[in-house]
Amino acid sequence: MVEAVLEYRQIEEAYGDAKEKHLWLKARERFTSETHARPDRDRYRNAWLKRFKARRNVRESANCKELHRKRRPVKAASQNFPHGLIVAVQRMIELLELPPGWNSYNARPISKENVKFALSLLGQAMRADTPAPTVIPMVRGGVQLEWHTGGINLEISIYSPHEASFFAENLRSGGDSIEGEPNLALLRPWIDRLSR
Amino acid sequence: MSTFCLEHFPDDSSIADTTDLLRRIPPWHFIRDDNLGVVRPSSAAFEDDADGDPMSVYLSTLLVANHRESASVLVGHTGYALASITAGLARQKNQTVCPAPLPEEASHSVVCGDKRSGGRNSAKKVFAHSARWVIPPSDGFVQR
Repeated sequence: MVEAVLEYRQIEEAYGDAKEKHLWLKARERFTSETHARPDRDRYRNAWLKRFKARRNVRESANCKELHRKRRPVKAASQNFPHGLIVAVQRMIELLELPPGWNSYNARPISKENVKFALSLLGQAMRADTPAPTVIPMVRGGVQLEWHTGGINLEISIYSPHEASFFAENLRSGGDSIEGEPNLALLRPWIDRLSR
Repeated sequence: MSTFCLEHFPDDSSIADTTDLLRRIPPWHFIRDDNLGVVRPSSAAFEDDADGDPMSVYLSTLLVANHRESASVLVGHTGYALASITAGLARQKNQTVCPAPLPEEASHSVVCGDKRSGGRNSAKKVFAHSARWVIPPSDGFVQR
């Protein structure tokens, strides 16, 4: 029995030594491959650097105005994004967290479907320069979007994705007003008037 | 006036037209109206309850009779403001004003009637534009 244990220990020690040796060899191999120059790798690296510099020179040369011009639409696209929409999204996220009874009179929590509908409507109707609407929660889980600026009063009440109403008036043109369902054809002229 | 309101929440003619009806306004219903240059309640603050019950208000006359401050109806409601419309205005917009005392609030009443239809002249819009602040909102609670 004692002999068997001793034999097992010898095997274990031998295995440990072998493992240590293997790891050391592996580390040395990695070290030498990283520190010693390798002509094939250097050749590829130099070729890549050459191509990179050539491309940079082309970009910076006076002859590449066309290239720069082609990049402009990317910038323009970000400029056309309605930043008021971001404000509205942030507000709607807050509203989704309202607990039942948030108005102290048994109001329902705001429904995700109504928020989705409101965002989709805003996404289609808002321009880059449209001010952010004031987003108001409604007692039955709906959302009301309001603008009261520039002589325009515009209110979109979303009771559900299937029941919504829209009211707009221009205080500067003698109270010219309209009301109905908020379709894009009706909304857009009023959103344009609101936008700067 | 709707038959439902006349049957279930009949108008109490003993409430004078000049009586202030107080309504708690949560911070989510404060709105900055640049056209008027004021912060006022949104029209969404003057809708009937989600369970179909008519809009709750508190009779200022009963609060005074019970030697209570208006602010007492805001106790426990941080950030809320208190707005008032008159009973006369509610009646002009085809609403009934009916006392509905609660065990914990004797001045509780309801304003019953259609508040949505009528566009710019809908009851909820008229109330929102005519409401007077009894306890105005704190600046920190008004949306930018």
